Amino acid sequence: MPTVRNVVKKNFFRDSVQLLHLSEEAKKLPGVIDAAVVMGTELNKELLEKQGLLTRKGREAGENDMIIAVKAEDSADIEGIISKIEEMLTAPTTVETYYYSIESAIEHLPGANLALVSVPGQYAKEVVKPFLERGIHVHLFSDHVPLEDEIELKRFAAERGLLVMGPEAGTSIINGVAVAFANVVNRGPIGIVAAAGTGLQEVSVLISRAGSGITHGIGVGGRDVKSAVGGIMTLLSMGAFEADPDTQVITIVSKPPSPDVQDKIINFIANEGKKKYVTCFIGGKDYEIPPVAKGRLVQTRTLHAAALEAVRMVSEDLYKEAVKKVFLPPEEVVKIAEAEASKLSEGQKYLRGLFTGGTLTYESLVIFQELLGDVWSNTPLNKDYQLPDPWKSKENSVVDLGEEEFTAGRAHPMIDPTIRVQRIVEEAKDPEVAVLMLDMVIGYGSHPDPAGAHLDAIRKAKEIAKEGGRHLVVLAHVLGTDEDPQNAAEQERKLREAGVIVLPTNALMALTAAMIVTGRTDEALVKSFYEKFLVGRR
Amino acid sequence: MASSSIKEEIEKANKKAVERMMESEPHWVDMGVAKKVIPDLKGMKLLHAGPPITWDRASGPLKGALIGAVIYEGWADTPEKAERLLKTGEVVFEPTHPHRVVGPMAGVVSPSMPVFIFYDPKFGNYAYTNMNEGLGKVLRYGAYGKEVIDRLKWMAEVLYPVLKATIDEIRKDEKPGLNFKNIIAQALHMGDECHNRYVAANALLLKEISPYMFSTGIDRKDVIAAYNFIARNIIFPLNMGMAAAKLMTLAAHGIEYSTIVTVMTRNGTDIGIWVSSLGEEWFTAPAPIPKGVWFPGYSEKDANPDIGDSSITETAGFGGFAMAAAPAIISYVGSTVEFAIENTKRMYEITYTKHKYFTIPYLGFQGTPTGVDIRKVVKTGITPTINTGIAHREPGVGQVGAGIVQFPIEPFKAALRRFAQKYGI
Amino acid sequence: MSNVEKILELFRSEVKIVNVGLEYFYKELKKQGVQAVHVMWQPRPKLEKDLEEILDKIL
Repeated sequence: MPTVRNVVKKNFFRDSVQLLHLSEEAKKLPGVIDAAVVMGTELNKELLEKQGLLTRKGREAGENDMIIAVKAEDSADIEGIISKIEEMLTAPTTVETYYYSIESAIEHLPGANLALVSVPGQYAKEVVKPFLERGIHVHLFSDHVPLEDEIELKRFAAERGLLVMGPEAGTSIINGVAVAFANVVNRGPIGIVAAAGTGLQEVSVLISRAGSGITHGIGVGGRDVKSAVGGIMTLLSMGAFEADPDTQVITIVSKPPSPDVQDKIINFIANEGKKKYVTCFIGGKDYEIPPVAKGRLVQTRTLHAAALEAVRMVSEDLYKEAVKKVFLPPEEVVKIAEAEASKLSEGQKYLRGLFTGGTLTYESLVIFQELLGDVWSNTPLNKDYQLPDPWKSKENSVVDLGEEEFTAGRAHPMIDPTIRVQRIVEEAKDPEVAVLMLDMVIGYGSHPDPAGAHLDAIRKAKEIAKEGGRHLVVLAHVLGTDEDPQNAAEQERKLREAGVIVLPTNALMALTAAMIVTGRTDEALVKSFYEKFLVGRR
Repeated sequence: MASSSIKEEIEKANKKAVERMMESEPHWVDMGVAKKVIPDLKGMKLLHAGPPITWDRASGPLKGALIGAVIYEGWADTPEKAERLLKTGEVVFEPTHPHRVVGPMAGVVSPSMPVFIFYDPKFGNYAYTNMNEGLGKVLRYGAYGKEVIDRLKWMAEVLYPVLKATIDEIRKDEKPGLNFKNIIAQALHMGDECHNRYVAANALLLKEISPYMFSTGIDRKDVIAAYNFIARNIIFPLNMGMAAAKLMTLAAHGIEYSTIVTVMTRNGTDIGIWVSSLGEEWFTAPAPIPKGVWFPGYSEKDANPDIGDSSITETAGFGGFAMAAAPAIISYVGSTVEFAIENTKRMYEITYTKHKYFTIPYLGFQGTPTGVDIRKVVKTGITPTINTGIAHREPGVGQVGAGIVQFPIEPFKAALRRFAQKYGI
Repeated sequence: MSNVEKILELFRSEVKIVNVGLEYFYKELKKQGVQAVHVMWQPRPKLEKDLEEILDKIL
């Protein structure tokens, strides 16, 4: 025998549409045969009567009273059902998703597991702490976070087994979600820990282009691998990937760590690690691979090599295919460089790199150090080559337009191309310039059409050179995938149509540029470069 | 007391205060003449909105309304004589709130004025308010010319008897009176926020009372005149909504350890607040000039600082706090829909909870922000934002605009310091 | 090895993000269809010392 129960809430008004919705929800509760939540008007009471849902109590309700009517299985906990419905009546709900405090936001996103924080650095600590206290991981995009705050936050987080990705983490990819600046890449067996933002983007994209994919990409912030912080998050992330059943290969990307932190990383791999590892300490010196890690640890110097070696650890076949199809064999690079070099005029001898990605700038500087010697930059490897005025290039120059002098009070050049567009035209006026290099970073966070936004400037630059009787070589690398909202193939097509030579990796763009300006296009040189920079050492 | 247990005491007290605020059941139960029903309103005494004030600091509209009330009572026959009585203290004027009275704008209530009587059967409190005069030249904006006094007389002679007979009729068959909380709850779903907009509430009110009004034995001509007066005055229910809000906040008042605000009001010179656990001590600061839209021919320089008890509606969790419920008033107060929604959401940061009975359709039927907590105001720097009408700074000109006002933070800081002192923190 | 259970939990779960600061990132997350909320963050007002102390004890 089913039971029917009415509860009358005196002077309790709710909109009828809302009550209809509530009635539908109430019917879904376990043990409920039928249910209705209505205002006690004559019409409603009549309808309840017909449904067999009205009791004496409900009959007495007035039109300002609400009736909760439930018909339930005899065995069901009818009291429990009714209190559940009452709870649903007063439960806070919302359709808008903007809040004025962290507490309200967390309350309204049950199960929140990650915070993306981009407040000014001096406030980072007070904003990040409440998340950690509630067991929520944090991606900290902010810059200018005091070092002592970073250390405190990371220790606090590590004790609780929580991630603090950053500060100054431009990129992470968790479960396929692009956090801040990141790309739509394949899922696969490779986990990435990166203390270098665009480094994580380049490696994840190249892995994806090579046909493999990543589990997650964790950005830990550049300072994590310095002595003061001691690699807290790098090591924690490595531990997590070790325990993650989906991750087979772990790739670590950063500028050269402090020696003590590098030792910690290598010791961890040797003594606690069971999985395969690729390290990419861009521009770092070779280290001794511990005998116990032989065969499962490969060290690389470029992002290109890191991606390839990681793929190789997953599948030798994928690797072979990728080397041929995706990453250009040496003879192809020679062909391109020769063709372009032959078009140059007397006096065109310098390259100008205009970058938006910090790690891409750094990688280019490392490669030029080898092939050209010191080059000028606003972020030079050799302090003597600091550009006196970052707005003006000289000789061979590589500029990171994402640095503070270009971004104070305006959006990052990955979002706002204005500054680079002007700079491209400026560089073209210099008769000594032979090669322009451009990184085109796409994906979430970036401009909706970076290639399109640069086309006019590129055409104009080529025009200016032509009028001066010169040929201006423009090289570009599109960092992204065909699955990114901007579509890498489409971006590359637009650039090629404007006479741009598109290279598949940042390292190959740097190599090509160096070959063109030096005119050294012999295959022996290219092959030795490949061995040194584009494959790993075991 | 250890700080953890004082926190718990406060939490318990605030929960109780806000629970009582939400559970209060304000009913319109009767009409009466002020001096006969309002406690301690005797002799030559007037009541006014806001915190206490002296004659020399009083603003234009408040002075005008007080002068008008003196003339209305027949204590003086010229404005000059009336002013002298007020200046010398022969006519006393006191704030409304300690008398359980609320009134919009100048909020002046004099002994022989008819008032609404509201009762809360849940917690046994009474509250009182005057009848709304309509728009234009009216006493509450400081006008005291012949037409103003004549209208007040008509209200006492015609409107009052009709309303008195109506409420008697309503209560004839043992009904507790007219449940005004229901009217507010429904009006919030019909585009009112029940401070500056009472369009829907007015229709609901007339729907509820008309049958009784027309079954009183009163001369049909007077009933029709009364009906038309209410129907044409779209903010007629404002005073009633305020009396209801007064009962809600009164239920929350006087609870030891509670940091919930139970009065927010202005007199045209100062704003003042009460806090539940701090008795009837006023915490005040200069009243700001509202930001808003101006009626043709007027501008900010004509505006009086904010005035009236009507911010009792926000204190009780509606009015400006429910702006997201009332997109239609947004242009009236010179704002945008986004701002209205933002404002309601911002108020959640300084209030104890979301109202159980007052809900906002647009925000997924979540409850309005309810129970301003002085601790949260001081901590976040967010102060209550209320809707308001703007009075001309000279007496007798009337309303010159409408807008919004952000309460200054000083009274909340002062109240917090007093709280700490009282409880030895 | 450190306790990594919470990170593995993140790896296994649908990512739900609270964005604090740049609204732009919130919009980029919504474009991806990620469950996210945005906090309109502002620095806290600077308070007098005695009020800070009172609030520390009672809030």
